[in-house]
Amino acid sequence: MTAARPRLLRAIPNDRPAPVDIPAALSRETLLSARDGDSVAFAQLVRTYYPRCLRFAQHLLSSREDAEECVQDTFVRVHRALHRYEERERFDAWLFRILANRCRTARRRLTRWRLFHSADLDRVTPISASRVDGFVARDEIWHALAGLTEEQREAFLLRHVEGLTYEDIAAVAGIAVTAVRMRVSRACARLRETITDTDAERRNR
Amino acid sequence: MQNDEIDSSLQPLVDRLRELPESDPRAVKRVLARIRQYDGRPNARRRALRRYFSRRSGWWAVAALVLFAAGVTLFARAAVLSSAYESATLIPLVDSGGPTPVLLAAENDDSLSTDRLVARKFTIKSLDARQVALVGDFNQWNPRRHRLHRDGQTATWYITVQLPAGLHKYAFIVNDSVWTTDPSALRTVDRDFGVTSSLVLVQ
Repeated sequence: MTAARPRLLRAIPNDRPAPVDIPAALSRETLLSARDGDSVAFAQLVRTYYPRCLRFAQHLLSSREDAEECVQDTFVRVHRALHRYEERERFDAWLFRILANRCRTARRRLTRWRLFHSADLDRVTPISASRVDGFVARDEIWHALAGLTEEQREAFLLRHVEGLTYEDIAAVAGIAVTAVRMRVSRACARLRETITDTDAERRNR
Repeated sequence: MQNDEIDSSLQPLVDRLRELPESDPRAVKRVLARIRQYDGRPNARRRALRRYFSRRSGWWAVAALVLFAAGVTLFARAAVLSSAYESATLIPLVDSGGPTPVLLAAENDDSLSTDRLVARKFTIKSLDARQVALVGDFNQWNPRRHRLHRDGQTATWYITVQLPAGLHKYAFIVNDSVWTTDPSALRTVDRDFGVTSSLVLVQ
C-alpha cells in the first residue's frame, strides 16, 4: 500500500506539534518606520510577513516556485506603495489585497501556460489516495482545495487560515460582505463533502 | 453553528493549512535585493517626491517657488525695459528731426512683445563704399547675414529686414572694416564694449 502512494504523499505523525498560530503582527512603530523609508524596518516587515504570504500563495497556486515568485513581486510592490498605506486599514489586509491580486494574475498566466503544456499537467496533478488515521496528508489538502473555485479558495484561506475579518476579505476581493460569507460558507460545505468522500473511500478499501 | 464556521471535521484540515512553510532565509534576502535593485529607478525618485508633497510643507514650498519665479520674471522684464530706455535717453540726438517721437512712443509702450515681425527699411548714403552690411542684436551682430543693396543713381545703400517688435541696436559696417552708425537714428553706447550703435524701435 505504501509503495503505491503517489510521490508527493507525506504522512504526518500523530505527535506533530500543535498548529502554528498566526504570527504576531509587526509593531506599529516598525510599520511606520518602514513607511517612512527605513530599510531596516522594511526588512523586518518582510521577515515577519514572508512566511504567511508564502503559505497563502502556495495554497492558491499549488506550486512553491510560483508562490515564491508572487510573494517576491508582492513585496516589491508593497515597497513601492507603502507610502500610500493608511493606518485606518489593517496592514495584513492591505498586504493580502496586493498578494491576492498578484496570485490571480499568476493563475491566469499559469492557466494559459497549461493550455499549451497539458501533458506536463497530467504528470504533476496530485491524487487523493488515502488518509492515515488522525492525519491529513499534503495530497489531500491539495485535493480538497482543488475542489473549490478560485474565489471560494481565496475567501476560505483568508478567513480561516489568515484570520482576516469578513470586511477585510470583502475589501481584498472587491465584493460585498454577504458575498464573502456566501463564498466561505460554500467552501466549508464543499470541503466537508470532500472529507466525507475521502473517509468513505478509505472505509471501502 | 453557522455553516461558514469550522467544525471538528474541518479542524484538522485547517490546522494543517495553518502550518507555515519552511522559511528560506535566502528568499527574504532575494526580496530585499530586488527592492534595492528598483530603488535607483525613477519610481523611487517619484515615490520620494510624492512622499514629500503628501505633507503640507511640500505645498508651501511649491507656493513659495511659484511666487519667487513670478517675482524674478517681473524684475527681469522691468530691468530689461528700463535698461533700454536709460541707454536710449542718454544719447544726444544727432538729427533732432528723426526719431524723437519714436522714443516717446517707447516710453508709453507696454507691449514690447517679440511674437510678431515688422518690415523695417534701413538706408545709408555712401559714395565710396564698395559694400555695406547691417549688423544688430537681431542678427547676432553677424555682418554676413544682411548685406545692403546699392541704388546706383543716388549712391544710397538699402535693405529691408523683418524685425520683431521692440527696441533694437544696430550699425552698418562699410567695406567690411568701418563701423558706422545710422546718421538718421538715435545712438547709444554699449555699456559693456563701449561701441556706439544706432537705435530703432519696431512697433
